[in-house]
Amino acid sequence: MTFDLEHGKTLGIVGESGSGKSTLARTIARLIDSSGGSVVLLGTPTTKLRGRKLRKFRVNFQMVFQDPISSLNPRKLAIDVIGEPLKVHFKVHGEELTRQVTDLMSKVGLEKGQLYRYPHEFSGGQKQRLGIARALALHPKLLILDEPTSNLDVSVQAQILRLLASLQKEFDLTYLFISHDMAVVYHMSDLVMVMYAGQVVERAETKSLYNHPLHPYTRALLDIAEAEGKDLTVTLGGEPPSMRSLPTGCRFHPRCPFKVDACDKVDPQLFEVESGHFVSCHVFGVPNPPSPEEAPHEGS
Amino acid sequence: MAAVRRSGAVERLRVFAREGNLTFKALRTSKLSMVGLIILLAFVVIALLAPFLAIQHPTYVSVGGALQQRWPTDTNVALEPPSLAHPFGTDELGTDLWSKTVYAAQLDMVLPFEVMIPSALIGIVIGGIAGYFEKAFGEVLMRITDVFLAVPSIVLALTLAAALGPSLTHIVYAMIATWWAWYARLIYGETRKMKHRDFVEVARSSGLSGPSIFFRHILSNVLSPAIIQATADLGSVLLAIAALSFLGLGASPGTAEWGLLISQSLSYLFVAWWYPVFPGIFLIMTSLAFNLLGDGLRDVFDPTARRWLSQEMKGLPEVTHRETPAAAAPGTLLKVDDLSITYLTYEGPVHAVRNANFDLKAGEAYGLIGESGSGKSTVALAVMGLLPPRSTRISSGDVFFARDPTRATEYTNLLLLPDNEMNAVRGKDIGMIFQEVSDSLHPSYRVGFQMSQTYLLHQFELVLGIAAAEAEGILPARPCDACGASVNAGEWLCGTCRTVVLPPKEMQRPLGDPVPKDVPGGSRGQLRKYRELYRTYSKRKLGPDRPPDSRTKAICRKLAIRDLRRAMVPDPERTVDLYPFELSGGMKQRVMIGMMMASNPKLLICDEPTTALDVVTERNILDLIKKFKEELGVSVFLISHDLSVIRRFCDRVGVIYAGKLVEEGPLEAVFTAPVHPYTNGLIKSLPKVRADGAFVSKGEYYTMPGSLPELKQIPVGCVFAPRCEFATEECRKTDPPLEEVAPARTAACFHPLPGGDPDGR
Ligand SMILES: Nc1ncnc2c1ncn2[C@@H]1O[C@H](COP(=O)(O)OP(=O)(O)OP(=O)(O)O)[C@@H](O)[C@H]1O
Ligand SMILES: Nc1ncnc2c1ncn2[C@@H]1O[C@H](COP(=O)(O)OP(=O)(O)O)[C@@H](O)[C@H]1O
Ligand code: SF4
Ligand code: SF4
Ligand SMILES: [Mg+2]
Ligand SMILES: [Mg+2]
Repeated sequence: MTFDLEHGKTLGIVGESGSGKSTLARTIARLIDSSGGSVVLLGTPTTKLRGRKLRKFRVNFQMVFQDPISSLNPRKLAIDVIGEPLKVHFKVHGEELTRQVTDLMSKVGLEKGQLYRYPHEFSGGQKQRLGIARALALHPKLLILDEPTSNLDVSVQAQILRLLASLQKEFDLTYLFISHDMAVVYHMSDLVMVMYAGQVVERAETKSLYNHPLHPYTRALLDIAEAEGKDLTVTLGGEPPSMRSLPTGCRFHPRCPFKVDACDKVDPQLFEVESGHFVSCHVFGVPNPPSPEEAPHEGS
Repeated sequence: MAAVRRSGAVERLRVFAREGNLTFKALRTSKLSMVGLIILLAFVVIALLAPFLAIQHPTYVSVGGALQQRWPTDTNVALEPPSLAHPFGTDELGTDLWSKTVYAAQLDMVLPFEVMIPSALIGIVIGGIAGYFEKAFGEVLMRITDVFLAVPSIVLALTLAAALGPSLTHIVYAMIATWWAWYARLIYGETRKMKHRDFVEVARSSGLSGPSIFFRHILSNVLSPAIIQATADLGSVLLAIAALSFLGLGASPGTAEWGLLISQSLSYLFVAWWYPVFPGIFLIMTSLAFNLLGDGLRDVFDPTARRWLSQEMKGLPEVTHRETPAAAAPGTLLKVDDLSITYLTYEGPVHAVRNANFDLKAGEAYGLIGESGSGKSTVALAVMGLLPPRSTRISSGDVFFARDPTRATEYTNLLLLPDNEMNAVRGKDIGMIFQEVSDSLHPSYRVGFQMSQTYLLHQFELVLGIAAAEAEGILPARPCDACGASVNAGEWLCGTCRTVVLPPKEMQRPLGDPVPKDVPGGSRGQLRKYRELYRTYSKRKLGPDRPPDSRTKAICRKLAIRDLRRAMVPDPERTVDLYPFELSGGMKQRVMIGMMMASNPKLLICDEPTTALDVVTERNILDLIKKFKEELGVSVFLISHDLSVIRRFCDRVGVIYAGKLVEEGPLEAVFTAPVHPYTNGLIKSLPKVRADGAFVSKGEYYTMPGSLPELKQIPVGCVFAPRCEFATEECRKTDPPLEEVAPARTAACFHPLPGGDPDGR
């Protein structure tokens, strides 16, 4: 997979669970090693960094995890949670540390009175704010957000999304925003990448992707996001494949209503259908793709 | 500036004191551990005051560099029974046993720590390294640990004593050599568990190095299990030391040590009963006290075993439950009536649900929406009777359920049912699926095996009926009871509609009949065995601890395949033999649903069934539940924080906020025209891509300020008032009751919205 992300922009990544979104995030955050290829951040190939150099370079990219409960050490006070990276990297201590932590907490909407509290004394949304404050402590350039709101309910989700948007402006941050909710990604991203079974099946600017979704999987996702409880036009049966036994050809073909002969034999490549809009599909990833109605349909 | 620094330290001290206070409070409520603590303190005092309490005192002489005790002897008073002069009697040399027993406390209170502290330290280091650097050292270190675990400490001590001569020091070495391995194993397991928690990854991504992650984040979390274990083990260590002394491997003869005293007494057992009795009592009391304290600590630190909470329950008033509901609308399957539930925590009560009222009609899908922590799961668990009994308290209300469909107006109060009957309700009448599928399926058993456990537990009559019919050979060709298609001879599952077709009634001889001479398709022995089985199983519950035989196994497997197919699991014949980890999350949820639907329950409770799944799989799972609802008429109680999940197929919805039901009504009505300001806010907060066919502009969604209040006190007035834009003085003073605001719609609000849109007020 290949993509570039401009400074100050948000790349949204959607796809079902197990499609490799978290794996991608963890690879970029250098929590796991990639099996090939490279990630270049601010001109430095991070995939080549090792040991102390890597630890130093980590100030440039930080990650916020999906589960606010398990991502906080239950035995650390809020001040230690947020202050730890400051101590480790900038050797900040004492009252300066308290000042900086208080500052960060107010940035994410937490109060000074909550400095000396344990994580279990915060609500779910507040825990996620703590996680964000910690990630911001090092003033990173890139923030990797792995489904930061999927464990929260809508009223809190909306607050966190708003917070993230304002922090992006204030600190000039670049986001890698992972979610399986098309509507959330729409509101957060400049660019969107749709993943299926470990591969990118469609990548485009947000407007272009949501206006003219091309890949059948993207369409199904959008359909669900917009149907609001009504029945769908395209229903996808089946389950995502297991990474151990991937289907031949297009990985989506066992579930695809539009599949043609080539689909189970040849793996489609990403093709630039319009400028900046890439699709990997034998039927829709071609110049002047047909509309779904024109395309040969399994049922018909 | 200095003041700021000091205030930080003060704050930390304050947190420390608060935590310590809570721990002590918790410990105090566990009576047994307090008894243990008091006994231990008493012995510490005895040991410290020994020079003052004792009548005789030892002198110390150096023998080969080591100090040895020498006690005054007086053969005139040898083996005297207890008297005023010698309260515990005297030994064979005429030494006062009270003095020796008291002085022995000095040694015996310290020895276990001499063993335990080094053992625990070595164990923590080795286990921690093995667990954290598993790839590099795990295998090697744990093999070494196993070797040490395999050698009994007695053998090691014997060897050491043989090689170096008996001495207490050698016993301590021998004990350390074996005990550390237990801690290594414990810490190894705990470390491996901790290592995969997200906060370790968070620390890594902040650039901490391996060792500092271990010391800062892992150690503090694995330490408490080690300390608890070590405290409880101190008693065993003491006993082991005494046993080794008893064998003559430990303290040099003449030393005041409880084990040694008992050992020396043996030769005089028949002339001096008092000799072993007092040291024995001291020894056993100390060892017991360590155990009690260890157990108490475990209760305090292990949230799943909060036994001590039952103490605080006593202060709460008794509630009386009613047998039957005051009134129930016709067709009501489940009636939750004025239900309030309180969790008892050591920080005080949490009022998780307050006065919840709702009805679920037969065949209906009822959705409960609410923010996380609002009490949805608590309601579901209360209906299922699965609330942790010791730490929860139903402070008011009842749960009525119509168990018998033929007498739909007769209700059972589930809260009054005894455990065994509630078990039957859970298996047969109400099924439940949870958010964390991986927790509901056991990771190390095959899917088919786990499904057969359910059949054997909840449908053993059916399984054994089939088994007996098979063995008795009474399965002729006949039409299916359900769909009328013909079923072949020897078959009991309809090939068309997949219902179980039992033999015709007249052929099912009562079990008391004599065994017929000629059993078609089986032997008389087999039939006798099945009748026997059937009889025992009907009396005693057939459970997972009773392994089925090959015939019931085959029947369960066939049933499992049928239920997987009903839950639309592709390739069910293969899936039954898979382990849960080989299935995707959606597939696991299908297996669970299939399992729950096996007994055709009347009600299926789904607590966030799809929160861990992606949207497409979520859709498919919801459609599956919908299918069961439509085809089999099962009522569904669907819980979610996700509006789109509830919106998929519920007939009616209830909205719960901070433990209080705030709005209820038909699905479409509530979604298009919410009445309660909270519901309205929720619906507006939902990010949308398109509205009325046109694109919404980016970032355009409503944000509701504030967050869920803490439920430690029952709030005065409306719970939503602090976040509500329409709150008035009245709202802050009085709690609005749940009242009808329109036909079939209720809301708990003084200023309900007319059409959902606040601007339209
Ligand atoms: N075992 C427990 N001990 C103490 N308090 C508890 C316990 N379980 C839940 N609570 C508290 O009761 C309230 C309701 O919890 P519940 O789990 O029912 O909420 P929920 O709406 O299902 O939330 P979620 O979406 O997070 O599952 C919360 O304040 C929670 O902290
Ligand atoms: N630590 C791991 N070891 C082996 N396989 C893994 C591991 N983590 C993830 N996977 C596999 O990688 C695939 C992608 O998973 P993940 O990155 O978690 O996806 P998502 O974030 O979309 O849920 C899945 O098939 C998953 O089983
Ligand atoms: S390549 Fe074929 S199978 Fe794959 S998405 Fe396109 S049409 Fe469907
Ligand atoms: S009762 Fe008052 S505070 Fe409560 S929701 Fe209604 S208007 Fe708001
Ligand atoms: Mg993920
Ligand atoms: Mg819950």
